Amino acid sequence: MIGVEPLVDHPVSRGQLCAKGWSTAFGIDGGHRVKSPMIKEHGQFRPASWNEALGLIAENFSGIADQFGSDALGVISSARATNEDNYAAQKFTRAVLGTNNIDHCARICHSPSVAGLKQTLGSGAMSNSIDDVERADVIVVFGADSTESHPIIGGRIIRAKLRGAKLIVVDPRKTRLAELADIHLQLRLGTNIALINGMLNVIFSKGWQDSDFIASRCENVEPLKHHVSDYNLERVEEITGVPGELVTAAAQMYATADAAFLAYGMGITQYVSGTNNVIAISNLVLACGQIGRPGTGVNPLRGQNNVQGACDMGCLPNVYPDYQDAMSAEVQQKFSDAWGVRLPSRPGLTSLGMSASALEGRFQGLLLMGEDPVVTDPDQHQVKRALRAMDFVVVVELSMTETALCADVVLPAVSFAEKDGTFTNCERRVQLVRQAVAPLARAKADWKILSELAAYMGKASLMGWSRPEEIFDEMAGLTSSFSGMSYEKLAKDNGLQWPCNEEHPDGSPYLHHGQFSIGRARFIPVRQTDPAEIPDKNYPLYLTTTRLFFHYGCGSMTRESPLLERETPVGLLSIHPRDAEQLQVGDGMPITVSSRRGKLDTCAHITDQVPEGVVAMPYHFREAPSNILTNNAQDPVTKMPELKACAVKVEPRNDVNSPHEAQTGTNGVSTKDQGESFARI
Amino acid sequence: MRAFKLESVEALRRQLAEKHCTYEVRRSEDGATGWQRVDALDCQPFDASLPLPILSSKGFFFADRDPLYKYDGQAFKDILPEVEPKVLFGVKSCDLVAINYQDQFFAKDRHYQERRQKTVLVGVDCQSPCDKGFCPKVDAGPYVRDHTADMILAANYGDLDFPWLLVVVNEESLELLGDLELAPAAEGWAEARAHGEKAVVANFPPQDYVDVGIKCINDGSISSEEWQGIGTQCMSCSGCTSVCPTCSCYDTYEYDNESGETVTARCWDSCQFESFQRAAGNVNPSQDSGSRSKRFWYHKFSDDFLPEFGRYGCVGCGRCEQTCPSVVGVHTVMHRLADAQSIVVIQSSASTKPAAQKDRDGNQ
Repeated sequence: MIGVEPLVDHPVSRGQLCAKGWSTAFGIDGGHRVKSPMIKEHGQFRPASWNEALGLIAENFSGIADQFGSDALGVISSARATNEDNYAAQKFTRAVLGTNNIDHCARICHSPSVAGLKQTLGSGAMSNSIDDVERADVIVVFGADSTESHPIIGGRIIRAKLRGAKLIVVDPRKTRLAELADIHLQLRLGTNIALINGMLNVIFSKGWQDSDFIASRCENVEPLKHHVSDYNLERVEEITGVPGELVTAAAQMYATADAAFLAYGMGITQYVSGTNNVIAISNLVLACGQIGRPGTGVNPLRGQNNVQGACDMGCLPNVYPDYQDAMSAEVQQKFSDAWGVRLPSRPGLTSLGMSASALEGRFQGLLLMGEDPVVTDPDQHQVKRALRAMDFVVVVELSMTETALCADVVLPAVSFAEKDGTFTNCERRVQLVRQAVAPLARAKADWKILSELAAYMGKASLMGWSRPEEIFDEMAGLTSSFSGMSYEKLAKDNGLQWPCNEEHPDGSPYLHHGQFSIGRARFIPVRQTDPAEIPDKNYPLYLTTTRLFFHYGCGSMTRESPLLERETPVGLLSIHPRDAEQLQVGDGMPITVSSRRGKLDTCAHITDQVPEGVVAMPYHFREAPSNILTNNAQDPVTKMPELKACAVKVEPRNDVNSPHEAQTGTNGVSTKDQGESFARI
Repeated sequence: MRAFKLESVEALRRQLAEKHCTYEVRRSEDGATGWQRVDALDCQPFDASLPLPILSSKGFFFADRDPLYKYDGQAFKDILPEVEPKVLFGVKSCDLVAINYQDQFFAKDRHYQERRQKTVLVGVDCQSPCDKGFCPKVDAGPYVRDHTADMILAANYGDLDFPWLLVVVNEESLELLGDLELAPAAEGWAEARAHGEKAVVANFPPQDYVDVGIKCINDGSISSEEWQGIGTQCMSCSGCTSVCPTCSCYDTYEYDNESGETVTARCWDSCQFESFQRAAGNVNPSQDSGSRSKRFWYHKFSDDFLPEFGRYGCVGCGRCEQTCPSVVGVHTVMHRLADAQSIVVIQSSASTKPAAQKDRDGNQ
């Protein structure tokens, strides 16, 4: 593959791509790919046959199960892989390994959305469609940097703004959309709930709420009204730093709009109060009746190309496909009957739970697919210790990532271009992915690898599919939201948005228009909670993590593009001019950033995009991994780590002779070059 | 130059496809229109009304990715592309003008010329305006300019038996007709064609803002604030430069091939990337996005390029308007520049009071 082109008539892309999209061919290029199974011996990888590799894995996993029990094993599926790959992953985990220990990166991304909105609305997915941005009179972007993280949606927001929609941006940083907004609420890090409760306070006191909607579609609002009466504007300004008149203006603009579209991202979820932050958002949306019709909605912006699908397919420790409760005896029986096997009844571990359990010596075997937690999970040193503590780690990947280097066996996966399947985007649109080029060397699709491994573990019949379509049909037959879908139907008109069943034969552009799946929506009062680690005299600055337009996740694909790699210097720390001046740090100068977890070396980027007292780093760069610094403190409901806020100190480095030295530093020396020579067969 | 009456375009295509790798714009399974290989047995009717593909034909000559040379440990060795003789069948005027433009830019580029010299261009006149085109404004259509193609498929007005006219521009192309026997076109065909083009031009919507925008670009009357307003929206996706048929900037990169040789290759670059002009020590003459936007439109519409190329860089295809997520494609920008006095530049407004809102009862 040498290039890609966008589809002009596609309802989402409309002929547009971000720079990463235009560089797709570099991301999957053969040069950096793992081409055969690799087994680690004496600290070095050597090529092996599939037979040897799968045999070795089966032997080790069976051994661990015998010695420690099935719950000592677990699987992390890939949010970049297809629905079929993910369905296969959770089936393998439950039916072959016999445990509910299955999770994926939504844990550190939108798990609070799933948990929070399930409680208040009955469904954790984006309630409306991307097109609804352009039907809105008011757009709120809450804790998301849309033109960096969701450029196509960001572009729609710009388009809507130019056509006359009003834009409210809530963000501690001055993002591009904040510059274009009518109102920018530049709140302090981690004060979302105070701000929202303040807005609700104003809305209720001025009578701007949608009383009809509340009366007919929601449960009792009085406890919430009473609760937010404590959050008067003076108190809110003290906590958030946002002046009362701006809070009022934003509240009025949102509440009284005919149609208001609210989108949110990591600035809401990646906190110890992540689930409560989501609930607060839901309270605001419900109180104003801005849901259940075109141009409105509560819209978590999902990141990975198939993270929505990975969640939908049940790659979560507590649910089966279509969010059927894994602890329900009825659900267990249903899948047990369908699959012809007994299924585990004990609750499963999350990804962070697996790490913690490994450090306690109870979790021993991990199958990790298409995910790089060494770079993308919080507290990198802890992640590496956990992997080392496990007895046997298998990584299924496109290339030798930092996590793959820690594995005992690496299996080569095919990229999206080398297989058939389906992906589900953030607006619940399930679309066909058609194979464009032959699989590279000996790489295989995730579902195929799992199917063959099942055979090596004596359970061939459970996963003996010959084509992805068979997997999809099996899944559709066991779920309600997908029961009306088939490859044939998906092939027309660019896919279908779930739920698609008898009730909604053509899919669902927006949710909750008649009734919420839980009947009436719930208001749940939530209290402002500070981040777990706030700046003090030893670590006087807040660190927050960001995404760049030009890179994605751990950079395993995007950093293979010469253009994307050239565009962004590695992992610069953004710092406010006054903070920089105090520390005597100039633009581009080498610095050391430290937290209680670790330290790293990088260079400063002076900008007033960040407020005073806050520094920011992107997380894409293994040489300057911001997750060496981040805090593993977790949201008690979802175990979501607090990636958006921890305390750091910044010091200038005077011991550096060259810019190159400044970039790679003492602990960021790249291990990738080492990995590349192992991968080249 | 000779002109013939043509009964069947497909017969001509078949003739050419027998001896050449022939490409035509087709609609694929997923609804996209794009250049696809067609063989001599292909019977599908030629459809000149298919929408312009989002990618131009520049990739046939100025390849997306192109190995240039390699180092085998001892010496540097050229890598030239192996090219089969090709026919591009049914290229529209905008894309042909752009190929002609790049022919000049890449006149001494061996990789470009290796591919270009072996390609025959069969153009087709557009008989109606396309969705985003404004080719008449930049002298790039709707009819094919004779010097930009080897053969041209034109309309044969008033002749129901022979609805097409085939204009053969040069002697070499005559030979390509092989044993196809074609009757000469009726006298006066050239005047009829000129007349026909005027009628198509008259069907274009009013696009005077393009003229005004071009004038503003050339008389330097656009302020840097106005450019910055445009630049702030740009996300540097590189879509415009990828789809633009005349964009020719490239970057080079190295990789090791399977034999362990180090290959130097080039790939399309984009002046919209901040790093495009970033030099050592982070020195960057086009650090701010406004200056990058200004430079792009300068290259497309400045009179300064007329001495070298004889025309503007823009061929009026309108692709950039389609592919830009940030709403700063050619039509939007030209409107904006033309309205520069009246447009309100979007400002950050943390301190701006919002417009008075109506409450539920419609009272302000």
